[in-house]
Amino acid sequence: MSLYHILFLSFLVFSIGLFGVLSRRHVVGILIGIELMFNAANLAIVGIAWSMGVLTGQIIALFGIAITAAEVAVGLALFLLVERLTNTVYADKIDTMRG
Amino acid sequence: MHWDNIIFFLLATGLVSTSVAAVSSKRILRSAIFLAIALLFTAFVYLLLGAELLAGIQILLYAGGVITLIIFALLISEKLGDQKLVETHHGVIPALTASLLVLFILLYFTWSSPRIESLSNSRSLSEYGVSRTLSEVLFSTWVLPLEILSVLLLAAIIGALVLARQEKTKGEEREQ
Repeated sequence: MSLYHILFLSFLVFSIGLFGVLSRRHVVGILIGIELMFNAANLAIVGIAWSMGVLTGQIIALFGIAITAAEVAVGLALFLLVERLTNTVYADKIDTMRG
Repeated sequence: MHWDNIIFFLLATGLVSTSVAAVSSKRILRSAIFLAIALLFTAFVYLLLGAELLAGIQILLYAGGVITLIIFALLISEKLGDQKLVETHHGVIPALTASLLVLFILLYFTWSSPRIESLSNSRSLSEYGVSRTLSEVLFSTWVLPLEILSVLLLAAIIGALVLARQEKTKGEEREQ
């Protein structure tokens, strides 16, 4: 197990999450893809910190996790609001601002 | 070191397969559960990397709190029983192309960078990842970001409350 393995794993999970963000129609599905991408970024940061032998990476990952929690709370509140207002859960149906 | 490798590859396989399941599952609730399992696998990878505190926080806050929030939001939203939800993907081929492109770009620039080579050789700290050291650094050097973060969390709570309440007050106004 070296830094390369961890970075490869992280990039793979990041791409999978990106695929989810781009291809999902459900708003919460998109949010789940974003969570996977966040998770992959945290994994890369922790891996690099482990490889360098410094603690700073773990602290940045801690902050990342807390910020993600805030983002998810606001995102899900937005999802519930949009779902109530437009009566749909699909991101491609929410096109009120399309010109 | 040998066992480390085997455990890491098992965890990596689990993480990648549950991630694929999370983005490709037809049922959105099932995909949330797969996300929870993927986050748990990541927590175990953190344990393997010597970050025990981070693994615990990952399980508590991420796999516990965030997944609970997502599942609650899904259960509150009324469209869950709708059978139309089965069709959940669109534009699979462009999305696949874009994400593979991003993967190759990331891999290419990482593997061709000489800096990564120097990063992967400089491991030295022996008592790495001890929670005590981490807390001491967190509450001395990183106190200001920590406090700003608590303000951010407060703002997120208030914002979520305001967003979720808005429709209700509008409904009351309409009733009046």
